[in-house]
Amino acid sequence: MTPRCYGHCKEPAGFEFKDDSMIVQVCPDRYVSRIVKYGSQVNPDYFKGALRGLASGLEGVESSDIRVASRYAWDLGFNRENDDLMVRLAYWTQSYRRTKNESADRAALFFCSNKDSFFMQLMNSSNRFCRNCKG
Amino acid sequence: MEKVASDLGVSFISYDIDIPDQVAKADELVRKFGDWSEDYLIPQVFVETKEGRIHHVFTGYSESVDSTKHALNNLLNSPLFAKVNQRASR
Repeated sequence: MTPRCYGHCKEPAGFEFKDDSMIVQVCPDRYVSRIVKYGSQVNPDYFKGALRGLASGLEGVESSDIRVASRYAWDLGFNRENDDLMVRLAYWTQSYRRTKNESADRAALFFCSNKDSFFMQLMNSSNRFCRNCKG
Repeated sequence: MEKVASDLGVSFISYDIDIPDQVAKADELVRKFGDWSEDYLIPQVFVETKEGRIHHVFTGYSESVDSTKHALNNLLNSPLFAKVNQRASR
């Protein structure tokens, strides 16, 4: 079952690869529910810095918003007898337990439909492209 | 997990982070052996060997509860718990 969008709507929000170390969870309106950094190791502080630089106007990215997880062979469904660490993940969830502003007019982070950039716009916007791609 | 522990004949301890008396113990366990962050993911599962070593074996999925359930089921059906599965199949 595809997870649902978190913090914006109730639509299914699938995962898309941004690059070889980052996955973005977006709904059909391109609202970013989560960003997942993955690799053999992840640095939460570095990830926090990278998040803050994703889009001008993105605010409120704090250490408490980032959570880490280790994935082993067994919980990924691989039939191995050892306990090798397969991958480390760092999750960032947009507006996770932080904002008290429930206004539909608040600014939020979106992922361009061309899948190469992030941008800020109002929550209730129907636009799905960043400024460069919108033309 | 409790049933698996019972089938293995080992102790099962659960720390609920919403219970004040237990959160400190949970924090210590996760900080030392698990996937620690300021607001760490749950559940996290640990196994203690008879030699007293503690191994982290599972962290819940931020994506959804269903993802956590699916992955936890994978864990319980993994070679790590093979002895339990063998006994259950007899």
